[in-house]
Amino acid sequence: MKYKQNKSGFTLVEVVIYSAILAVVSVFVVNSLILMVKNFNGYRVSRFVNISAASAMERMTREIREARDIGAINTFDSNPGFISLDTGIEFLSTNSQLFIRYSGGDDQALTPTNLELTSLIFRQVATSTNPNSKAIKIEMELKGERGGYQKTEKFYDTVILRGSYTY
Amino acid sequence: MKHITCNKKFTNGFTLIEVIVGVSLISLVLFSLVSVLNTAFRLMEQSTKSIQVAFLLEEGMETVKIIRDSSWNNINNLTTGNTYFLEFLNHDWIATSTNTYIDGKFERSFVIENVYRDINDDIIVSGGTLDINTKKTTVSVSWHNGKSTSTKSISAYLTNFHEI
Repeated sequence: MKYKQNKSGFTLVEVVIYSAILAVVSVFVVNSLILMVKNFNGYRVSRFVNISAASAMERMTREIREARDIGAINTFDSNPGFISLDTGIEFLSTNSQLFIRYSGGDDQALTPTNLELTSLIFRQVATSTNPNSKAIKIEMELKGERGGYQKTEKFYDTVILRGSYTY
Repeated sequence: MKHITCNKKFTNGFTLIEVIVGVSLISLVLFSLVSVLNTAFRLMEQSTKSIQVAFLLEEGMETVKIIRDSSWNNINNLTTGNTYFLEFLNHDWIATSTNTYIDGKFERSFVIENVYRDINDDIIVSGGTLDINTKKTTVSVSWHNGKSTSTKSISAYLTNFHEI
């Protein structure tokens, strides 16, 4: 009976070892969870920035490429930029979102509300030195934020108005 | 009685070995989960750069065309095989031999090559006669991708259609 009593329950050494293991495992698990949440947030933000930037830039380059001429009212070289094309299409930035406007129609958003269009600048390539074609340079900066993770990316493109070619 | 006590001793609770095995299994699973997420995140970060590079390449090709549009000599006078860079200076795109990094991340360059045609006016790699009104251009963008450097290139033929 005495022998049996000695064997039951935990000894101090056992308790110390087990709690040490528990502590190490807990720290590891909590760290992993924090890292997972951080990565997940980063992944979501990156995904939003990627999709929005690609579709917004594609849309702008296609519309500019199709145009024959640049409209009368534009805001070049400063943020927020504004361009109008002879096809009746305009690009503008309102409340940190990029919009496309058809002549007389409603504005349609090209970037989602959970992203911030921190900068949209259009520049016209000088026609004095380049009389045969018109071109517009686009500089766009998008910012995404989620759960402490922040990402700001810049996108550039220059497009020739194919309709502006003189033969 | 002795037999039962002995059995009880071995079946009740965990032994140290069991705990260690269990903990290492859980750690292994967690570790692999975390590394999968990490890889997914890193690839997503890299794909942002790929999108930026795709537009920079498109811009590079358009830019070379703008330089061609203003005068064919701008292209014709460039040394074939030499590496040139593009700079937006005073609202004009110019070809320069000075390297300019875009946002400190991307290096964009282009190369002009001569084009030769055979008797049927088809472009051929070697031989044939030099076509002075056509040039091949290759635009490349390089960027740091973690440990290595990645490069993407696009090529196109430029023709002197404004002046002939």
